[in-house]
Amino acid sequence: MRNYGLVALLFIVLSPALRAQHGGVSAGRLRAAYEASVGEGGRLRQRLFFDAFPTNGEDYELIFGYHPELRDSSLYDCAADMVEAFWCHDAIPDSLFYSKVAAVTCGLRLDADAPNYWQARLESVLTRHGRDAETLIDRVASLPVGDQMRFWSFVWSTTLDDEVRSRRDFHRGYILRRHPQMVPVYDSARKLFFNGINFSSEPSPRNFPECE
Amino acid sequence: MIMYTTASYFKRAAICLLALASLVKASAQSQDLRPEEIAAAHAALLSCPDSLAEARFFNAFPDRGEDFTLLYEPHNLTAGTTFDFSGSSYCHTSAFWNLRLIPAEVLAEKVVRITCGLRFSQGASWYWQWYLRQALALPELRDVIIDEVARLRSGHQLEFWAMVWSSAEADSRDLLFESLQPGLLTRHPHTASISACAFHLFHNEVRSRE
Repeated sequence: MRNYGLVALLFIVLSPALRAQHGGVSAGRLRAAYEASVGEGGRLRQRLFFDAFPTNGEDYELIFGYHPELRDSSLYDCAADMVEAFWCHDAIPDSLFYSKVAAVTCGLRLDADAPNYWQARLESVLTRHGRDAETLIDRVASLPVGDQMRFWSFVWSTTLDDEVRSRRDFHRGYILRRHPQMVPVYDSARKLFFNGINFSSEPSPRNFPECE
Repeated sequence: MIMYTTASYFKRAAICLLALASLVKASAQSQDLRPEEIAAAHAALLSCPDSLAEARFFNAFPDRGEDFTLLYEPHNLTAGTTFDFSGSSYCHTSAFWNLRLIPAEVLAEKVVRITCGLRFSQGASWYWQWYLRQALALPELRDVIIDEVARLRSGHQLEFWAMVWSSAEADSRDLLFESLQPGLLTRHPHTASISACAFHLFHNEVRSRE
């Protein structure tokens, strides 16, 4: 009983702090910034859109996910266009851009629609050679190992065994050379999440034969 | 005659329990999020905590971690709407974990599914994690929850254990891990290896959701 009392007490003490932790994303601001950036474009408008874009996976899921109950606060219908616009920037410094990419990815689970668009863009960067993939990998390597696992879990998440995707290599050689401590995380994520999940909106996270 | 009456009573009780379990299980698969129903079911549970009130609250409670987060974590997208239950997060979470008449297997299925979609934070998911750890320390719920986790696809098992072991600093989870691991190794060795992997990666090694 004493433990339950302690939890209740903590709740009362923490409440004011929790109230101040409201997510920062605003549908109105993001929509306006997006419309301005695709209209006349320009570096300043791109930057405003980038700043208005969700800063973590939970906000991304909430604003672009299928939540019709949120009405005007949901941007589900514009998700594909906005995600495309986000990844097609040319005005944001790479380090800043990929910091945001890593932060958003760490909070996502694979599902249809918005998480799927994000995973496709992420894969596109990580399967290309060049500075973009390395900048992103360097950023991920600087995160706590739990967050590194979240990142690679999302990258590797598939619901089925797809032979083409199973052969993909997201720069493991670079990781081995530059961030060897991240290799076990990368390998574990591949082992557990490739052909290892159901979409998060599926009725059950159980193995398929038991889902019936 | 007395024997017949007693048998009849138990038969009726068994039928009622089975019906309740089916109702609860069928509704647990629904993905509709109805905040008004959650509030009404919680009020009904407080005024008359019988098996029907428990089943109603259990059914209304979110099915997925994402829905739990939407309702119970403070967020400016839901502030001021009927979906802002951040002020009730402790009461509702506590009420959920104190449901005593829901069959353990049915409760465990929902607990595990919600947990897979949660990410450690200082808000509602912190309460959830606290109650989950208490449940894993109790033999009667622990085994049912672990059996359910062992049925999941490997990625979801990692998600589950990541939530259990997530912490920003070292704490008493070390003791819980040590107490769970021998039983896990015996009954579900694959799940034990995933739990150990999650413990290594997430215990004292994760940032709270920002």
